[in-house]
Amino acid sequence: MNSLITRPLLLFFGTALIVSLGFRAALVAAIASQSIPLIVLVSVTYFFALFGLGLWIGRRWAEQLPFADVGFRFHLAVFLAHFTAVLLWYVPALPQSSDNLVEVLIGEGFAWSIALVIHFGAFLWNRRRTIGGLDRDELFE
Amino acid sequence: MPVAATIDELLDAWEATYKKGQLTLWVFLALDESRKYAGEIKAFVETQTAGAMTCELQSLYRVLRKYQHVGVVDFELQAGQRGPDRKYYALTPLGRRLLVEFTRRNIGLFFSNRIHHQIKKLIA
Repeated sequence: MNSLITRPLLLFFGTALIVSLGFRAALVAAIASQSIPLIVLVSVTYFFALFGLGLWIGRRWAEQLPFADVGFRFHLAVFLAHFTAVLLWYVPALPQSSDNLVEVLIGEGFAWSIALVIHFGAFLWNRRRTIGGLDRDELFE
Repeated sequence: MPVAATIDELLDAWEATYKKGQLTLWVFLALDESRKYAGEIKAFVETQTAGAMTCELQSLYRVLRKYQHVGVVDFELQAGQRGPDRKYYALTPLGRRLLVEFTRRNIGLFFSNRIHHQIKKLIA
């Protein structure tokens, strides 16, 4: 397996996809109940669940190989998992809910895409200090 | 006014700095001698440095994975005498070239007539 798509990253993506589908179901239920605190709670829980999951898998991965650019890879993986979950959630209901899907994609995707592009810029910048994704200052001990 | 530091304190401080970055050289020297499994590399490092350099097996595996990732070390599995297969590590052609270049540029300096003679006088 190449160094870009590794087993921990795939594990993270798969788990994040399941969590994202769970979040979508919980969010729909929370919106249906029209409870703002519940909607906030579901969203915050989703954020911390993914953050914690990324941190845990990322640390275990770093014990194997301490990639310096692991943050962007996880960010991209969670972005893809989130929007794959959106598509899996809404596409079966197409075409009835197609407007809804577009709204969700634009509403959730726009700001996040900008953040991802900025993160990608930082990733490319930091990559100059790496060899094969490993920090060149920490490669030889 | 100079601070009264002991020779041991100063030596410890200097050696701690000096040893940083040395593990790679010793691991590469171990593998240049012959392919080895991790336990043999650890024994080589500790024996050849008279205990001045030590490394935990876990740390050793971590650095070997990094070296393998950048293509300077590779391993092949070979049946152990008892128990699971062992990973026998060896330098790749790139790793061997890296060791030669590094040694020539950094270690070779100690073998110039003037410095070699000076070092021999120091340790005589």
